[in-house]
Amino acid sequence: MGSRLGSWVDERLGWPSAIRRTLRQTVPRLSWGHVLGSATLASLIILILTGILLSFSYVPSPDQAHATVEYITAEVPFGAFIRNLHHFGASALVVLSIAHLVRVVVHGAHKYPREFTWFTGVVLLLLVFAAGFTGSLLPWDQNAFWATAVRMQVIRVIPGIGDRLAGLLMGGNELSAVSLVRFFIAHVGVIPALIVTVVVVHLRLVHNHGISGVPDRGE
Amino acid sequence: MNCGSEKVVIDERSWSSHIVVSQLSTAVNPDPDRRTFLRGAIAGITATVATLLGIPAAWFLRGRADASSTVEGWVRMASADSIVPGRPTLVTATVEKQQGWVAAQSQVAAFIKTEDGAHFEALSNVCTHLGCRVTLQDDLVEGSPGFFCPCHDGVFDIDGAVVSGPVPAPLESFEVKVDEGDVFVRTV
Repeated sequence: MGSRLGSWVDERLGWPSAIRRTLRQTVPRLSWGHVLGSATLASLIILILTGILLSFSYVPSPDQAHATVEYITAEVPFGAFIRNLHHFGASALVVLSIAHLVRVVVHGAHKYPREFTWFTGVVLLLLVFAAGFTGSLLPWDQNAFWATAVRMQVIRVIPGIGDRLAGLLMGGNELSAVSLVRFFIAHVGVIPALIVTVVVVHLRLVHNHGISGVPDRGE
Repeated sequence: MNCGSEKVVIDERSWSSHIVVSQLSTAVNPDPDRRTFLRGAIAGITATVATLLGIPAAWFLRGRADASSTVEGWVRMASADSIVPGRPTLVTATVEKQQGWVAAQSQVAAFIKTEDGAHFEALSNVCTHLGCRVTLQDDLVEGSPGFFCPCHDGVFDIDGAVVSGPVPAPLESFEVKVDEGDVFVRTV
């Protein structure tokens, strides 16, 4: 019965056998450094889950944003745990992404035929930075506000487009209620959607090429 | 890709003779045990992480659902003089109530009645059927005034007792006290 149900699902979705194929793939000689990609993915998944939870109790409005963050931290059961998991998970994601990048370069895994995998990885790193940049404003405390204000001044000095880019990000000439909503929707909507899309492409490419092993002497 | 000696192991497993395969797999190939262990380890770690995240997540989503939504303590409703003896008077008071991260204004209402201007009673104006607000109407219960709920035609008499309609219970009565000429009600 179990196997009949299994094959019924498999014939229609192809999943059990696809997963089995993936698990039985022969892999070349690997190092512990090869876990960094999976670790990056794991921290991304934790960030998405905790982010969804936090958004249940967050209001992106200057008069309520900080009160909601305080409410999450002090009142909601496990609120401090979930918020800290999101906070430190974000740091872990940046650190792990860079460690993964360094591992790939050290093993030369970015070279032919995996250039496009490398390219999507670089895009992902930039998106991770963008997520950190937009997310750090959301607690709407002194640190969040002034750190973002300083970053906006940094963006302004980009030749030619600096002022316009800062204006576009902030929705005006200064950090305001308009900016907070823009940062919020970028952080919880636009950037995660892009990250998930590019991650799917990135993983598909890794799967297509097979994992690149530790290169032997002379390779 | 560089498979080295592992290639041999894979070839062995594809042999069709069952006896040969089983002999080889115990003698040469340590894989089955290792696979079982790894599968168990992956399942165990996944379950542990899912539990460590799942329980806080469930509690987080439940939030402050256990917090009381009622207004605690005595609420000043009206001055005792303003209640006309013999006829229930609907009075309201505004209280501050903490709703999540917002200190919200909340209305407390009650029908207050007195016969002699000294002893007071207070009835809730919330229908016990589905929570609509009842109104005082003349000529409702055999020529006398009563409370009417417009949502499903529920009728209570002047003391809040059930007369007709789908209402399951009498109107809730609140504790009342009079202090220095003011009527106070406790809705809990």
